[in-house]
Parts: sequence; C-alpha cells; structure tokens
Amino acid sequence: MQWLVEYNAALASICFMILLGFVDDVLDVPWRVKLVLPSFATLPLLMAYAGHTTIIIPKPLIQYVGVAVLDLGWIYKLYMGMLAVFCTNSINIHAGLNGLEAGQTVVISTAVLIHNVMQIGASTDPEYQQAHAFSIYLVLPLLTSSLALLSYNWYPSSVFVGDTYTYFAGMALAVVGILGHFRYNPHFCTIDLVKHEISDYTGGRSLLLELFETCETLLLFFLPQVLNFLYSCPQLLKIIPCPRHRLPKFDPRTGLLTGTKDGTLVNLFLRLFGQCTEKMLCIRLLIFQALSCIFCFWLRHFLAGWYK
Amino acid sequence: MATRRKPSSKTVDVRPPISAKENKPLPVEDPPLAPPKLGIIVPTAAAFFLPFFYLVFVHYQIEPELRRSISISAAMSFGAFVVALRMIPVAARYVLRRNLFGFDINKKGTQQGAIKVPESLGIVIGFVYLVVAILFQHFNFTSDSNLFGDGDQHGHWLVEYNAALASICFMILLGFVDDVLDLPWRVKLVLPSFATLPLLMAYAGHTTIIIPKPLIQYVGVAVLDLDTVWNAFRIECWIYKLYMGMLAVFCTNSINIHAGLNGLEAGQTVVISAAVLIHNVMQIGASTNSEYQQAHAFSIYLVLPLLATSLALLSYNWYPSSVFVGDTYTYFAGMALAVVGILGHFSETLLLFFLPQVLNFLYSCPQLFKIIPCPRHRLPKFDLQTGLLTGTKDGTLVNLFLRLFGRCTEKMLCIRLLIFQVSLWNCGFVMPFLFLAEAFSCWMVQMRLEHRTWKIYSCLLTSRREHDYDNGAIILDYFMLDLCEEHSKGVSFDGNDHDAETIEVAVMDDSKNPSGSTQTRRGRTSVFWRRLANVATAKFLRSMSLSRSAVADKEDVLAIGRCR
Repeated sequence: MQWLVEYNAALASICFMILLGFVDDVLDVPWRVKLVLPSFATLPLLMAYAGHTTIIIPKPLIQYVGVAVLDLGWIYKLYMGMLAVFCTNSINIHAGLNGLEAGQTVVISTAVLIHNVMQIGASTDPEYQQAHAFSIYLVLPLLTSSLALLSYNWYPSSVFVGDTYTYFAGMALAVVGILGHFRYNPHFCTIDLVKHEISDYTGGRSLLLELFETCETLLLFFLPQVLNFLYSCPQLLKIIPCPRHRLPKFDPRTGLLTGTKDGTLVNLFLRLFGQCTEKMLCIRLLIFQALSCIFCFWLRHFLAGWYK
Repeated sequence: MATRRKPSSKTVDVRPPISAKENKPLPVEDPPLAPPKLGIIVPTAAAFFLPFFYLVFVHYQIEPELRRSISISAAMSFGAFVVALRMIPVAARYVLRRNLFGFDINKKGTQQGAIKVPESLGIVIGFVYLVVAILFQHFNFTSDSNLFGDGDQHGHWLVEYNAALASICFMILLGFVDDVLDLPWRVKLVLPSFATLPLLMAYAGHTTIIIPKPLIQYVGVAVLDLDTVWNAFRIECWIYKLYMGMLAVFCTNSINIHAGLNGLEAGQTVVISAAVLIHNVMQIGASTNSEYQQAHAFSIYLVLPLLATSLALLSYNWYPSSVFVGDTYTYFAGMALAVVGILGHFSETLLLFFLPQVLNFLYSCPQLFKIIPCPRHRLPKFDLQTGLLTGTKDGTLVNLFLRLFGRCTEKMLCIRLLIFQVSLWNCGFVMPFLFLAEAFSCWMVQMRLEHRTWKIYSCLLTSRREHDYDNGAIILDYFMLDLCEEHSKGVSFDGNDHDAETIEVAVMDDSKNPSGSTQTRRGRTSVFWRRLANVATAKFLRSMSLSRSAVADKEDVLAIGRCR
C-alpha cells in the first residue's frame, strides 16, 4: 500500500512539474518565479511522507553528534525541495547546444539504471530490492522517451526541447533520488546497517561509504551539472556581469564555435580544447558526463567492495 | 499613453487614438483589470456557506475529528480564494503579453467588444487549487490521525487522494495544452480519458473490503482481500472502469458546451459544487458507517477548494467579464467533479446535479452529430441597439431559454440559467429522476462491488424475503458472499447500521421460506422491479429527511422476521 502512495505522489509531482514547465514556456515567467517552480511541484511528494525524515549518522561521527539516528524533520523536507530546484535548474543552465539537454538526461538515466540493477544484484533484502526496482520503473520510461526526443533534437536539431523538458527530466530524476533516500532510513535498511557493523573496513573507508549511502547517490551522477553550476555562480549571483545568453560565439565561415569568457562548462571546454563544431562539442560534453558517472561507480566500488 | 509612441513620429498628439494603438508594439504597462465584483460574490458565498456550516456544526452530530478536518479544509479554501483573487490580475498580464486573448462576441460592436480579454485564466485557478489540495494532506492524513492513519484499513484513502491529485493535475495540463495549441475536437473528446488514468489504476488497488464487525464470525477474516476474485470476474472491472472514463469525458465536455455567456462556466461549477457539498454533509450526517463517511468527507476536501477558487474566478468572470476561463478551467472543473463522484461513490447523484448539462447535451446532439448543420459558435445573436440577446435556432439550452422566455440581457440570461441549475436540486423535480437514478444506481452498485456481481444480481432476484426492501433502509452498499457457495448469505449493510440481531434475522430468513412468486423468471423480474421502486421511494424519503431513521428500520425488520 505504501508503494502505491509513493508512486501516485511521484506521478502527481512529475505531472505538476510538466504543467509548470509548460506554463513557463508559454507565459515566460520571470526568473525568480522560475527558481521556485520546482519547489511547488515537489509538494505532493513531501506531503506523502509525514514521517521518514531521519538520517543515519555515520558510525565514527556518532560520538560527536550524540545519537545514531537523527531526525531532521522539516529541515529534511526543505532539503528535498531544494534538491528538486537544483536538479531542474542545473540541467536548464547546462544547455545551449543541439542535443545537450536530452543527451545529458539519457546519460544520467542510463547511469541510474545501471546503479539500480547493480544494487538489486548485490542485495538480498527484498525491501531494498523493491526500492531500487521502483526507481527503475520511473527511470526506464524517462530514458526511452528522452531517446525519442533526442532522435529529433540531435545535431542538427529539428525540434527544441524547451523548459518543459528540462524541468520534467530534472524533476523525474529528483523524484527518483528523493524516493531512493528513504530506503536508507532505519525502517528499511536494518540489514545493511548490520552489514556495515560486521564489516572489517578501516574507519576511513567506512565513513566515506556511510556518507555515500546517506547522501543522494543520484547527485554524484550530476557531477558535471554541479561543476557547471559552481562555475556559473559568479555570473548568476551578478558578481560578474551576466549576459542574456551565455552561449559560445559562432563563426559562419569556419562553422566552428569559439568559447567566450562566460562561466559555463560549454565555454570552458571550448577554451581548454580549442574551437570545434557544435556536434563535436556536444559529444565531448556527453563523454565527460559518461566518464564522471563511471568515476562515481569506481569510487563506490573502491570504497565499498560491494560488487564482488 | 502619449509617451509611448515611436521616437520617429512627430505628429503624435494629432493622431486619433486608434491608429496610435496600431503604431506602438506592445504597451509597457497594460491597462489594469477591472476590480473583482466582490459585491456579488460575497453575498452568494455567504448564502451557501452559512447553511453549510450550520449543517456541519449544529444540525448533524458529526465526529469532532471530522469536524476539525472540514474546518481546516474550509480555512485553506478561504486562503485559496484570497490568493487566487490576487493572482488573477498578475497572470492576466502575462497571458495578454503572449497573445492568449479573445474578444467578447456577445458584445460585438460595442466598446467592450473591442477589448482583448485574457483567456485561459483557469490555469491560475488550477495551480492554486492543486497547491491547497496538496498541502491539505499534511493536516489530515498524518499518521497519528484516527480517521486516516490506522493501518491499512483507511490507508487506501491516501492512495486515492494522490491518484485524484494526479488526475486533476494531468487534466489541467491537457486543458492548458489544448488552450495553447488548439487541438482538433476529436482529440479534445478523448483528453479527459487520459487524465482519468491515474484514477483507474488506483481504483484497481482498492481490492479489500472491510467486513462489518458482526459478520466477522461468518466470514472468518476481518479484511477480505479480493485480489484472487478479481481474476475470476475481470469483466466487471473493465466495464466499471470504462464507465469511469466516460463519466470524466462527459462531465468535462458537458460543462464546455454549456457555455458562451459571461460567468456561465464558473457559475455552473459554483452551483454544482455547492450541491455536491450539501449532499456530502447530509450523507455524513445520516450515516454511521465509517467508510461511507470517509468517502463523503474525501469528496468535501476536494470540492471545498474548487468552490472557493471558482468563486475567485467568478468575481472577475461575472458580467461584464474581465477574464475568460478557457478550456483549462472547464476541463479542470469537470474533472474535479468527476473524480469526487467516482471516489466518493456517488456518481449517479452527481449526474443528477449535472442535469441541465445533460439536457443541454441531449438537446445539442443533433448538431454535434452533424445531423443538423453545426456552426462554429452556437451563440445567440447580439443586437447592438437594444443590448439584448436573441435566441437562434441552435440546439443549446442558452438559445432555448431565449426562445422560451424572450429576449433579455446577457447578465439576466446567465442568472436565469443558474437559477434553473439550482432549482433542479429541489424536491419537485428530483423524485422521478431519483427513481431512474436509483435503478441505474442499483445496477452500478453491482458493477461497483468488486466481486461476483452476477451472483449478487441473481441473489437479488432469488431473495426469499418479500419485504426485504420495504423498510427502505437497506441499500446495497456491500454484499458479501460466502466463498463456499453452498448457501449464499446475502447480507445488506448500509449507512444505517444494523446490529448483529437484525442481521441474524435477515440471514436466517433467507434459508427458511421460499415464496412462490420467485419461482418463475417473470415473477422474479417483477419482484425485482417492485423492490427497486420501494428502495427508490424509501431512499428518497430518507435522504430528504434530515434525521436518521435507523431505529424504525431495525424494528421493522425484526417484526418481519417474527411474522414468518
């Protein structure tokens, strides 16, 4: 029964986000409103969870914090709302090339799916497996429909995705991340807690692993978006002047893009690796996305040794 | 506005205003919307809410928990009203800027007919409604609440609430997409079916029935899981789901075609919502069955915000309209009402409240099916000199009223139509339709019961107790049959609780005396229709009376049992 509640709340959230994204595309709402829209869309999910706002304190820190399980209450819900805002807007600003928005969603979805399958395979707890299966059920349709969109949006684009798509994709992934976190609370992963306790890892590795487990694993797959966001911060916060479009400069004669001094990953790549065509730049960025996901997998493996 | 001409033009002050408007691209400051017509809305709202709160807090003995939840819902709805009232002018500016506007056809030729009226303001209403409905969960469905939190027994309400929200949200999305992209009418017809999908899927999840306490000894379990039985009788499931899908299509499109006057769409929604709320309160007051009360409380929680936000919209949409509601609003309103009808288990009664829309639809059928030619707008004709509307030969209720009652202004016509909507609640009209509704309802109850519907039907026909329904208290809300099928223990359970004694009498009677008239098929059918007539009358009398009649019923049944 609880799964049905979560599933319907997830659907309501994603549907609300698509609605708000489409309203934004049509009415062109001011950017301040754009920032908070995803928070409204997360509400169904937040409301469906009256409890479950606890996090597990990593063992080495218990002595500092005082309790093994900390109930964050409303702070955790605030965090969930912020997570949705981050996921959606980070995909939105890491854009501007043909096929970049849809492409990055495809790469992240693939990483999430592989992660879920590996976790299902490495675990024997049915609740835990159910949680990851749930995530698969939500991400598989996202992946396939994004591929369909990408087949028209890839260079040269026949269609543009619009804010509707970036909000929808960011929200779907945020929903998956939020629902996934709940699997790490004491009600659902007691067996894993026990596993941690009887393991003979060094204190340092165990700590990092605990952090991995309690943080949003999903966020790790968003690494390029995080970097892009951090690199954009000076301009977004108006410390450095911020133009309307922070796109690279296009040279009609050579057909190549040149990086401007704007603080985006797109421009950074152009400045680091030289001029190139739009298609090649997009491919490079997607390869970077895939490499960072692979790096995250390796990091987990290194820390946990789970996937023996 | 003289300062916003193009810099190149020098003869600025000499030009007449109209050509000046053509020159400047878009005014930097749009003219503000007319203020909301609160002078009309507030008295109307008070006229409804005062009796409503009287019923909830004074007249009926409702549990304090339930009263608290209803009060919270009412308070949040009031908040929704205020927020919507303030957001509509803001949204109207953005909507106009993106050229989503229309011209008021019923004022063509007057000065007002040239104003660009922003369309699709239903999106604001939908947004506020969704936020309020979502936030309400926090106050009601908490784990320490008695009504909704005790384990699986009432847990399904949370699933259904979220499914309802998903459905309504999906419908607002599709409605807005239709307003923006202007979809072909064939697609428009099926859109609500897509939006009902979350509801249909969630309905499948509700496969447990709570066994009434006195019967646990007969059944053996406290909660009967019907999953296994679904598979044996899958045919009933999809018929009921088809019905649910069609209901949504009907509700949305019927509101959509009964439109065209300032304030008609929002006004009819307000009237229907008020009727639904009063019906819900009456059912809660007249019943002691917890599930039944929950179903109607559920409906109240979803309809109160609808009513409040519709009032906010109406205060701008009433004659003369400053904003138009758009397909977004009519789809949203129709869907919200269909959802509460389905999940609250009173869809037949809902159709009763939709009677003017039904009549309008039937009257429009020849034109909709192209038997008679159908123009793009089937609106009445506006006469510029008199300012009155004249009915055309189109088959809509609007035109019919104009033809029957003569020409009148748009405002007066709208008021007449709304009064017609209200008047159909009341006693005079309802009775004969109630019988039909009851017959339909009995059939639908069979469909609705999630198992063995054909068995129930045959049980009805072969039931041995002639005076089964004479007491009028037995309506077929639950009908539970023994798995062994050797003897069918038909037990009726309705809003007025029968205690163990009564039910034992009822059960024992079944096996005792077969009566002659039920041996022939014809006899059985006539018995069936006679029983239906009794049930209808009794139910009508019971629903019209504002007090419970449980005591009388129990004694009746006992007396009947002793006679045999």
